[in-house]
Amino acid sequence: MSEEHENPLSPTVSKVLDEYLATLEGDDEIDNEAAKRLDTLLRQGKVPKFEEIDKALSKTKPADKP
Amino acid sequence: MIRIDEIHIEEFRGIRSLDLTLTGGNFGICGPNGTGKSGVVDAIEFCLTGNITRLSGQGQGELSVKGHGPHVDYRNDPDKAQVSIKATIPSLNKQVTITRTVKTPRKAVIEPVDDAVELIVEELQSHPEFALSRREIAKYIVTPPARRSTDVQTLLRLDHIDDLRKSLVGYANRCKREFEEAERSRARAESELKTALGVTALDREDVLKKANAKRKVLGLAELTELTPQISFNEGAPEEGKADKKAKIAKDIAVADLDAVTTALKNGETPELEKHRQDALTALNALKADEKALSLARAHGLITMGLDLVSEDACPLCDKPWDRDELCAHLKAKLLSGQEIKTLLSNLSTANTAVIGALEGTAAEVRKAKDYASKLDPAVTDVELEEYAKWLDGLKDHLKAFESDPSQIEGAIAALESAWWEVPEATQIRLDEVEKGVKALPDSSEKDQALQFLAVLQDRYKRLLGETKNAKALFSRNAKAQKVYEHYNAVSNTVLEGIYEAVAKEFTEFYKAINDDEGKFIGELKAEPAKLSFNVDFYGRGTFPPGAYHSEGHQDGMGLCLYLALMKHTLGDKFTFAVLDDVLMSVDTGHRREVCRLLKTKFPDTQFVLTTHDRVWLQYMKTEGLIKNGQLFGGWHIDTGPRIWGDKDIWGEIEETLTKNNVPVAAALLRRYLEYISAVLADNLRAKVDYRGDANYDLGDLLPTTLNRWKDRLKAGVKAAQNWGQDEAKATIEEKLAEAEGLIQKTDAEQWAINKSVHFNEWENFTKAEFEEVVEAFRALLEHIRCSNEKCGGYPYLTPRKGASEQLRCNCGAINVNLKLK
Repeated sequence: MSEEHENPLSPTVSKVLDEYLATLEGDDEIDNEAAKRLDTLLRQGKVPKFEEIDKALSKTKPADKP
Repeated sequence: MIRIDEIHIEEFRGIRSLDLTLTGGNFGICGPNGTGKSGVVDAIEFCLTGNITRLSGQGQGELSVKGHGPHVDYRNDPDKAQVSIKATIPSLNKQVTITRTVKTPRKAVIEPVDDAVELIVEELQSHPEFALSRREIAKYIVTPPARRSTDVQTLLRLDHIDDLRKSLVGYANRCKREFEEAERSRARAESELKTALGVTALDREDVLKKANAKRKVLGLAELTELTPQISFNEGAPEEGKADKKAKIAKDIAVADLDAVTTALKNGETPELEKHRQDALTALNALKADEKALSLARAHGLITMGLDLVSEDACPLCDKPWDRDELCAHLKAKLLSGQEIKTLLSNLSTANTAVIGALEGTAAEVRKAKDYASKLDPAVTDVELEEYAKWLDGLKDHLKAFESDPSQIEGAIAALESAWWEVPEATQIRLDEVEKGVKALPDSSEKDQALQFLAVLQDRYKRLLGETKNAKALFSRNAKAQKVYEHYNAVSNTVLEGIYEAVAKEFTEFYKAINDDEGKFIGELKAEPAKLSFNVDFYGRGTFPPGAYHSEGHQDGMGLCLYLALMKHTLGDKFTFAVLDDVLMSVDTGHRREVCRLLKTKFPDTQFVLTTHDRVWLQYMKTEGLIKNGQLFGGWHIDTGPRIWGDKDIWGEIEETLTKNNVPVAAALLRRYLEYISAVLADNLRAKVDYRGDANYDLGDLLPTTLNRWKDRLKAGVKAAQNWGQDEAKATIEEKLAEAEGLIQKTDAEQWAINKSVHFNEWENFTKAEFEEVVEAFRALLEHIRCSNEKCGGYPYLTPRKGASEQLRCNCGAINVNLKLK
C-alpha cells in the first residue's frame, strides 16, 4: 500500500508541491517554518498521518528558560 | 528509461527458451493468436517490474506471478523461470543486463550496477504503464469518468496527489470537529459562570463588582483588575474539609438546578428538531441506498435496469409501467456521488448541532449528580449517571458515523430516540436533588460570600482554561482549513494545466492519424472525483468517444491519449513502450498514419509492437517504423513458440533461388510488388482504373504508379525551373533519368504489350533470367525509397487532397517542391 512505502515523487507531484510551498510561504497567516516542515513531510513519498501533519504545523520553538 | 538490445526468456509462461535481438530499435512481433507473442510482452514487463499485469490485474484473484509465471512444467521450480534483458540506458550511456527469476520477483539482478543504474530500474518499476495492451487502452476511452480519473491519475503518477489531498482534508475535518467540541465546552463553562453570577451576559466590570461585593462582606480588599491569575477569595479563610458538604453554595446550587430543570423541560427546541429531522432524513436516504447496494448488488442492478428499460414495462417482471415513470423511479433509487457529497455535508451540520445538544444535556445532568453526592444525606445518583452515560453513548454513535459512514444504524437509532425526554427514574432523582438543595439551611452572609467566591474562582478558572483551549483549536482549525484549501487550489490548477496540455497533444496526435477530421478537438475536463473526456464528432459537437466514433477510431483515440499522457509524464524519459496488439482495429486507411505518428513524433522511443496481422507488420516495415521483427508461427506446450526470422523479402527470394525454386521466388516477388505497388499508388495518388471489388493485381497498379512517379519528378523539375532553383532542377532531372532507366529494366511498362515479359511468365523463367528481374525491381525500389538509413520510407505527396504541393518522405531527405510561383 502506498501508505507503507516511500516512493519517489513523480515530476507532477513535485510540481504541485513546489507551487504549494510557494503558496503557503506567501500566506502571512502560516509561518514559513511550518510551511517548510509540512513541505518536507509531504515530500517523503508517503501519506502523512494526522499527528505528523499536526506536529509539522504546530511545532513551536522551545520555551525560554524561566 | 532504457532501450532494449536483447531479450533472453527461459521457462517463462508459454516459452521454453527464446532469444530476441532488438538492437535498441523498434521491433515487431507477428503471429496468430496463441503463438506466444504476449508471453514476450509478459516477459519484458516481468523483467523490468517484477510483475505481470495479466496475472495481477482486476479480476485475476486466483492468479499470481509466482504460481503462474513459470512454464507449466516448472510451476514448482520458479527459479528456472527467468528473463534477462540487455539494455542501453541513453541518459547514462551505459549498457546493463537485468535478470529476474520468478522465485524472487521483487529482486532484479543488475550487472554492472551503480546507484544511477539502480535508480533507473526503480523508475521502470514505478512505470509499469510502458506496456499497454488493447484491453487496457479501453481504460482511457470508454471507461466511466470516475474510473478514468483514477486510471489517468495512476498513469500520470498523480494518485499521490489525491492521497495527500485526502490526508489534508482528513486533518482539516478532524481539526474542525475538535474545535467545535472545544467551543461547546467553552460555551458551557461560560453558561455556568453566568448562572453563578446571576447574569445573562458576561462583563468584566460586573464580575469584579459581584466579587468585590462578597469580599466586602468578608472584610477583604477590593479587587481592581480582572486578570487570568486573579484569586477572588484571596485572603479568605480556608474552608474546612469536614464540613464541605454543608458548604454547598445554596443560592448558586438553586440557580444551577433551575437552569438544569429549564434546559431539560425545554426538551427539543424547534431549531434542534429541524436539525435532527434533517439528519434523520439524510441518514435514511443513505441507508436506503446502502441497503440497495447490499441487496443483490441492487445499485448495479438498477443501473442495468435503466439501460434495459425500452418499453412501457419493467424489464424484469414485465409489470406494466410508463417508460419515463419507471426510469424516474429507478433513478430516484440511486444517489449520485455529488448528491452523496452534498448530503454528507448537510448531515455533518445537523449532526454537529445534535451532538452539541447531547453533550449539553449530559453536562446538565452531571451537574445535578454532583449536587446529589454533596447533599447530606446524599441522593442516590445512579439513575442520573445512567442517563448521562446513555446520552454519551448516543453522541458516540453519531461521532462514529462521522468517522465511518457504515456505522449508520447506530446513528439512526440515536436520532430516533427521544433523548430529551428525561426517564422517570432520573426525573425522580432530579426532583430529590432539587428538594434537598432547597431544604439546605440558609447560610450566614459570610458563609454565602465565601461559598460564592469559591465557586466563582472555580468556574472562572474553568472558563479561562476552556477559552484558551478553544482559542488554540480555533487557530489550529483556521490553519488546517487554509492549508487544505491552498493544497486543493494549487493541485487543481496544476492538474487543469496538465489536462489541458495532454488534451492539446492528444488532439494533435489524433488529427495526424485522421486527417478527415480536420476540426477535431479533444477535451479533458477534471470535475469533482471524475475526469470527463469528450471529443468532437465532425463539427457536430463534443461527445464521449464511445457515443458516435467507431471502435477503430476509439482504439486510435486510446493510443493517442496514452501517447500524450506518457509524453507528458515521462518527457525525454519516454524511451520505451510495448504496444501489445494495440493497433489491431485501426483500419487500413489509417495504419500508415499511425506508423508515421510513432516514427515522427516519438523518434527517441523504442516501440515493441505485437500484431497477429502480417500485413500490419509489413506496413510497419514499409513505413520504416520497424527494421526488425520476429514471426511466431505456432506453439506447442513442449517446445513453446515456433519462430522464424522476419527476413528482408530480398533475402527470402534469394534463399529460394539458391534452391533453384523459381516459381516460389516468382510468387514471393509478385506478392511483394503487389503490396508495395498499393502503398506507392496510395502515396503518389496514382490514377488507377477503379474496381468495385478493390481486387487490383500487379498489372493494374505498378505501370500506372511508375508513370506517376516519373510524372511527379517531371512536375518537380518544372517547379524548380519556375522558382529558378537550378541546383534542385539538376538533381531532380538526374533522379528522373535514373527512374526512366530503372523502370525500363523492369519491363513493367511492356507488360500490356509484350506477354513474354509479363509477370505471369516469371515462373517459367530460368534462375538466371529471374535473378535479373529481381535485381531490376530491387534497384528500382531502392531508387524510390529514402536513402537515409534512419528513414528508409517511401515518398508521398502532400497534402493528401487537392493539388499536390510537395513530394517528400518522413525525414524530409526527399523533398521535392511541386508548387509553382
